[in-house]
Amino acid sequence: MTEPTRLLDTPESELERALLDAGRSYTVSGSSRTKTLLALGLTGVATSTAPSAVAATSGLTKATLTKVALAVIVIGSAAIPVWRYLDRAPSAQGTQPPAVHLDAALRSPPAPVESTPAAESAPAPSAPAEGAETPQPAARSAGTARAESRVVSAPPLAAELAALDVARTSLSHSDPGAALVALDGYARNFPHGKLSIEAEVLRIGALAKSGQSDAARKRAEAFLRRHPDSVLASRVRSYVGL
Amino acid sequence: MVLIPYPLVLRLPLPPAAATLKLVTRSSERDTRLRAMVDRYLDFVARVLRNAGTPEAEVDDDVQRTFIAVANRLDDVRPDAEKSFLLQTALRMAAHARRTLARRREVHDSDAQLLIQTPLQPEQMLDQKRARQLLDGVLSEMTLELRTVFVLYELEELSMTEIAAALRIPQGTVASRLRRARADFRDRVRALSGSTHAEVGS
Repeated sequence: MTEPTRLLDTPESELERALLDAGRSYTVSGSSRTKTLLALGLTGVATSTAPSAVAATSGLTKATLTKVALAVIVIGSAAIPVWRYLDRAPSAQGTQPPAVHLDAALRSPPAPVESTPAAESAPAPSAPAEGAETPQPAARSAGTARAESRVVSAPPLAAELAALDVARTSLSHSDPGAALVALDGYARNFPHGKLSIEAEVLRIGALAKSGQSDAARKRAEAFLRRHPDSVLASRVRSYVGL
Repeated sequence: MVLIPYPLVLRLPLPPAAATLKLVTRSSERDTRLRAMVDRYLDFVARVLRNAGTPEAEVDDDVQRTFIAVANRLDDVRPDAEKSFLLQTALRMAAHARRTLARRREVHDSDAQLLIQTPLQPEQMLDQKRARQLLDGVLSEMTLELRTVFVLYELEELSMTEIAAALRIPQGTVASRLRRARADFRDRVRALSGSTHAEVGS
């Protein structure tokens, strides 16, 4: 059977091309892969996906894991304040690139649709157009500056992942004690972490596996009240037999 | 030394250490396979979900649900059928999302109408976010069977044979639906651009 030529190869109009491009170039958010791997209960999310790396992780003994967990927590506790300090310092001197403002981005002229093959596979970031209102540091309000400071000083997702990976690996190696230690470290270092929901699910699992059934059940019920439609709800139920 | 006949050896239970090792190896193989599937098909699954009608805000969750559903049946999935299995699961997820959306129809209908009726300026047509909104409007107006074939052929670039296998319909039906879907899509895009469409890009 002959396959007809795709419409994008012979678009009838620029609008048609733009619509088809929009459909083809859709990509997930940056954290989607991470969250999917976590939802699947896979370890080594923050590390290389090479099979050798996976095998190396699987081969860790309980003792090694405990040591790794403690090392991450100790190093993390020391490194994060230092990192935050170092990160704030250049910001105060105005050397950080200005954050992209949604209003300005929306006001800026659209990117041309004529695109290279590379641009077709991923949407190009919309650069501020010439003459568009680019916010100047001096003109920023105090509230905006505070908001930007919060954005800049947010710990990177990779650090959160590394901390949760330790907990998850410990749990998958039947060492809930080490997992709980790692999760305590995560809670200390990332009080407003992006992966706090995943951390809570891990904690419920670790509590259940360490024999603290009542605590696990209480947390599970609270979690299900807060997130009844969560993708992770079924796992929480299975941990505590709900 | 007692010799055990070969068939009996196969039926003997494995020593605990060997059994554990086998389980760990199997678990590791499974994890590796799942991880490879996520790496390879994450964007594909997300695009199918989005273009098949899952609202933007729910795509991440449904991506996870799709992979969890496939993980639960991983042993039933042949390695050469992973993409097809994910596709079928994602289409079912999207159908569920559309039904949920239908229960909140008033708001979305009015949004879609607004998108269709608002006069377009040429520069607006090129804005990517606007293009995504317009595409959502156009696709949501198509019937489900035409939309599915259109999305898989025009946006995912699957062959008609692959679509027929995934949807479990004859290739002739795919060809027929595709022909109608393309005509329908073009009519709707022409209606969107109105009299200005011929001028854009000229």
